[in-house]
Amino acid sequence: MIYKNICDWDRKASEKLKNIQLPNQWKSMGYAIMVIALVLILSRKIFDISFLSKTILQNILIVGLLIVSLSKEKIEDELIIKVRAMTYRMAFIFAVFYGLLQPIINYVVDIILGVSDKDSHFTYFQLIIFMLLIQVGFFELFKRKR
Amino acid sequence: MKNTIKVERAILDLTQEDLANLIQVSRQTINSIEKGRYVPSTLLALKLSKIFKKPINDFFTLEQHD
Repeated sequence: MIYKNICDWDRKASEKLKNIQLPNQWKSMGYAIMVIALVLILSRKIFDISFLSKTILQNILIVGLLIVSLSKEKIEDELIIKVRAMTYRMAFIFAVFYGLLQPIINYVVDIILGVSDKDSHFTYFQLIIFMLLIQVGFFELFKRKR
Repeated sequence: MKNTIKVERAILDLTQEDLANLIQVSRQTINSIEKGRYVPSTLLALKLSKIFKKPINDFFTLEQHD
């Protein structure tokens, strides 16, 4: 009985997770958050504003892109669902290649530039933003080409 | 897979937009199906069958490489 209840709960939870999406109106809000975060990141760099934390701004940028990525289209039909699934798959595969190749590229560039003490690792921000950009970018491209 | 959705649509004098509204998909999806770029699900095929009042086999046919 307990096992059956656990299975039911697990099935319901995975069904909910499978359909995790936001209404279409959220898309423009996501873009707005993204633009604001980008402007603040650039202003921080140009005007040397120290009270704005770089990590917080980067996280806001990720949240903005995630909202865009999770927002439904006006007509969310089966073709759009297929395109969306395909772009998530692409983003995952590209991110694995990015993870494998980026340290090597960094290392080669460091050798070419003669900088030996530079850290050749990449941050979680780089990887997540890369995945989200690939997903959102290819989704918009394939959506127009369908 | 080949299809004659464009012909069936013309018989009923429906635009892509009209058909899309009837089966609750986007116009681009109807265009993709007509061009053979997208093979619809059974659910969508049954909806089309209901609109055209014909069996699915009448407007979807398998090709040799399918």
